[in-house]
Amino acid sequence: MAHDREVAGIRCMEVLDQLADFVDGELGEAEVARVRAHLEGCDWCEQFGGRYSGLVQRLRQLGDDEDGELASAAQALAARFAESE
Amino acid sequence: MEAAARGDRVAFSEVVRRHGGAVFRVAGAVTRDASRAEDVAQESLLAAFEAAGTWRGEGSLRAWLSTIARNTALRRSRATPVEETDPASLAELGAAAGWGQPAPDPEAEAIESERRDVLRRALASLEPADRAIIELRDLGGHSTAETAELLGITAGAAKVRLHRARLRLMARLEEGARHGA
Repeated sequence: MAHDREVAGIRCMEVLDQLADFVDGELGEAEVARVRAHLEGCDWCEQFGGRYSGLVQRLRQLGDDEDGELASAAQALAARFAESE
Repeated sequence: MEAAARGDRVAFSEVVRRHGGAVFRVAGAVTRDASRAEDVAQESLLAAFEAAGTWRGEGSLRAWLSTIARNTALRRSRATPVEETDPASLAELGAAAGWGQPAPDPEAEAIESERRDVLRRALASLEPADRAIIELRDLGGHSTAETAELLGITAGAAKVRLHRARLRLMARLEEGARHGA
């Protein structure tokens, strides 16, 4: 069984469960405070949370990079559209 | 859009230029087939042009076009959105992603993080449903509500599915790093 202990009144499993909402800014203030307090006191969750958050940031950056490529495809499509009957 | 509603193709081509990328991304995510995304995107944009007069300016134009792309993609693939079952527990997904384990070698992680192609390959290796939701939410920047609507699921289901998809992606990346990919 993976690591699961209570730190700052919340268990690691609960933090894992809420990690997406925490990183996406979709948790309420009170819950954000609880998760933050746990992360400050739990090395395992802090490390994993950092890797999870880092991955989400890289995905968003990849999306921004790809938007440039998709915009080129859209540009070509727009040109064909404007010229067609 | 008013000009497009009067049949002005040049005006609508400006809409395509601005939002066509988002339409491509939704087409690819909903068909779960990047090779058909262009055809679906073209058909979607034509449908949007023909329906330009119905757009009332409420909400975002990108969301309106994305919905048309979704409907076109579903019609083309004869697919209906279904709630997919996912038996793996959160603890199992977390463990596979490295939760509760020591952090990987920082040097290896730094090299991996610089390689965009490693991330793309890991994404491409995901199951279509996992790839689709990451495409829409993380790469495409759609909100939870927009993503849920495009995939035909509830917002709650979208959040759960996204989290589980990200954990599976982390597991693929960890596996790749262990095998020197």
